[in-house]
Amino acid sequence: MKSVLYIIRKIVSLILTLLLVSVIAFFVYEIIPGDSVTSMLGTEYTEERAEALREELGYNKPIYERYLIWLENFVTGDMGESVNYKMPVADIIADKLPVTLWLGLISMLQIIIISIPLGVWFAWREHKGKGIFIEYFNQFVMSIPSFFLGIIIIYIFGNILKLFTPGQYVDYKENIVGFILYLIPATITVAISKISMVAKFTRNSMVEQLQADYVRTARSKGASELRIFLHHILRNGLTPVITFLGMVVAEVMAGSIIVEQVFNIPGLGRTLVVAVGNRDLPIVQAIIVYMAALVIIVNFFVDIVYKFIDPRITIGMGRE
Amino acid sequence: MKKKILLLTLALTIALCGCTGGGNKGSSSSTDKKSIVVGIQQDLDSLDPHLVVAAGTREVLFNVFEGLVKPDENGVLVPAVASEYKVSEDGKKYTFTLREGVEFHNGKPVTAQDVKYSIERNAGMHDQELLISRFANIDSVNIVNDSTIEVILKEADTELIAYMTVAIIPEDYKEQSSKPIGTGPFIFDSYEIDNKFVVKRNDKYWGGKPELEEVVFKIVANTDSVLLDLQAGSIDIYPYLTDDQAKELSDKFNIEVGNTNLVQGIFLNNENDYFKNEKVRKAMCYAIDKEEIQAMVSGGNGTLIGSFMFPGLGNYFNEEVIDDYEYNPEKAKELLKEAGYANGFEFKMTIPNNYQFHISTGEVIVQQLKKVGITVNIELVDWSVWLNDVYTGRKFEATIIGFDSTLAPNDLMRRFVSDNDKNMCNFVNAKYDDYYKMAVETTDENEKIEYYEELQKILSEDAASVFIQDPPLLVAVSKELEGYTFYPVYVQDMSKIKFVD
Repeated sequence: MKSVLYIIRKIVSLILTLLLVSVIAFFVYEIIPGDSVTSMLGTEYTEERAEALREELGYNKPIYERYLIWLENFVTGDMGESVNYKMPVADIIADKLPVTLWLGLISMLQIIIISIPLGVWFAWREHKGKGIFIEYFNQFVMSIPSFFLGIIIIYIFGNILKLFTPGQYVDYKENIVGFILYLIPATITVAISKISMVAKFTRNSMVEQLQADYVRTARSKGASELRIFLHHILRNGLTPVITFLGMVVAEVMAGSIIVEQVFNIPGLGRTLVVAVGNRDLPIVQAIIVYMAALVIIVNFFVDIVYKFIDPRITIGMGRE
Repeated sequence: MKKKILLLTLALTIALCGCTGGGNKGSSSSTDKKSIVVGIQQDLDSLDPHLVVAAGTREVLFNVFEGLVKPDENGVLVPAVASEYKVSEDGKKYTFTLREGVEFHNGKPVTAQDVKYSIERNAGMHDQELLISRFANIDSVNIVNDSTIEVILKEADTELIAYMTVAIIPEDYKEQSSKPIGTGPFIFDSYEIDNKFVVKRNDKYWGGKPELEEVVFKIVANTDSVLLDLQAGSIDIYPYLTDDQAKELSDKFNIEVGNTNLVQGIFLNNENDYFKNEKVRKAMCYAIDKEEIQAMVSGGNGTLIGSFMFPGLGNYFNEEVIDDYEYNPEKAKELLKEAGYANGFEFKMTIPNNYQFHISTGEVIVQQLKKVGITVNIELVDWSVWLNDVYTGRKFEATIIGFDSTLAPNDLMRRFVSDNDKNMCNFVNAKYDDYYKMAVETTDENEKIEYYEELQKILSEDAASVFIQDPPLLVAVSKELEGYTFYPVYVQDMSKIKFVD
């Protein structure tokens, strides 16, 4: 019963968060200057044409009314038509979404596979009282901007080692293997700084456990250091990492926007950047909501999983 | 434990790198077919040629569509879908004879009906509103017989022929914006948003089939990484290099240098408190060292101009005004003193943030104006903000931009006519307005040239703005290719590209 309530609460908060995101995505373009109409007409702008176009696009209605219409359509799956491309936004997104999903998925896999063992290893070194120079290295890696790192990676892997041809993107509909191979250098770019982050987090979380009372108890019972490490510290130390990984998903999505630009990958992030420049609001709003939804839903599942791993978690259930 | 994890990490890294290595094999597939990749900077704004606004789209669609006439590399309008045309002496009637045997890409012949429809659609007589403002002057389009079309104007306009480059498309074809059909040397194949636009050779092209079988126009998002793409060989032609990029690529590519056919300048709002004073505007002209700008931002390439026209417009271009304001900071200071700004002044220069070339120009100008005591604050804005505030709203002090044009010279010159809605600089001069009217109405070519030269002289004399240059266009062309051709309008003509034997 308790866990059913918990899930319902989580779902409600998920929906509210999405609504909030959609409101922000919708209203923010009311505040910043420049609109779809001016950028569509460009240098052919005249007052009459602009007026006619606003009428046609329904931009002369008050903002809240437009928001409600948009929301209603959105919920029923109609995301409107792109101002710029005169195509249904749903079609555009359907085409681009797999690209960004794959990019995110491969990045996440790398992060999980590499950073957790790495973090555990750092903690083990710490446990054995060895140096922490790795800390500095980590700090260094985290502070490289990803567009810069991307160019370095293209240069090293593409132009020097010739492991891939920069700019020769392979479409996933034509050749899925070639597509994934082209994505890998890009995913490494996204993953590297996140790997440092997660490894650091994992290490810290485990080192915290080292000081815990139960470790002392275990030690006094005569358990070997390795046994203590594997059976006690590892298990307790890794639980918070799962939540942290949920947050990393958001970072990966944000990272993919930049990396798609650098590696010339036609995914959602690139479409978003172009659409922002064109003030193609139907696309911008849909992509923002989509990306936010993705992050929120992943975190929703992380919370649920977490709850089952560690039944002590009773977020938002008051005092019980 | 430690070793195991280390090994695992290592194995993974190798696996990942090994995977990427495999991707290289597929890359040579494009060479057995005569296919090339051309890098373009912007995504296409529409595939329907009549609805296109961006110059960056027109340059690509030039390969797919043609008008009754089309420009050649010298800026001369040559017959295309029409085989010949006549303009009546009063400038009110244009008669076109259709070329025999021209077919649309779907195999259907071009009929007089299609031509009528294409012109009328731009004049706002069908499903769209008025698309070309000049076409408001069209009274009617008449089919004389199967191969003759007459365009009747309300008022004389001898330059309308420059707009007859408007694409001829089939009537009653509803999918123009997703599967466009034209008559050009290449046939539309596929398009993917933010990714690529692919065309295939039109084997039945009336002007002879091109050598290339396929051209992929690839939209490059990042102008920094495009250099790496070029070096790696995934792009064969790229037309917008910076001077530095051109230097780096010169060992692998032929660098072709042409003109962009733009009027680049510091455009001054003539209603602004400072710039409404002619002396201040003149002082600005004397204080700017155009040659230094060229040396700093365009590697010494490009063509200097002295008024609101670029040399690509041939006979209409007035060369005499280029040196009207030789660089002279002392004179600039004197003029400023006379205008009551002995200690200089401060103004804001708005520049769209997507044009690095204009931004770099602006940075040089800041330094140059500092020498005469004028302080410039550069404000970078989004393109749509620029359009909104500067171009249409005219809420600005000064801006740096480049204006493009059709082959009709009045396309540029009207932008300084007092009551024209495109008079962004708020320039007012009754003499200018009179000459403009005469220039547009005359049917005598020599008179027309004379009037246009006079117009340019007035703009220079009044220092309507600071006209700098027609910037250079630096194009990287793979050493395997030849035949890249520059036009006085903004196009990328792929039909002339050939492989070097």
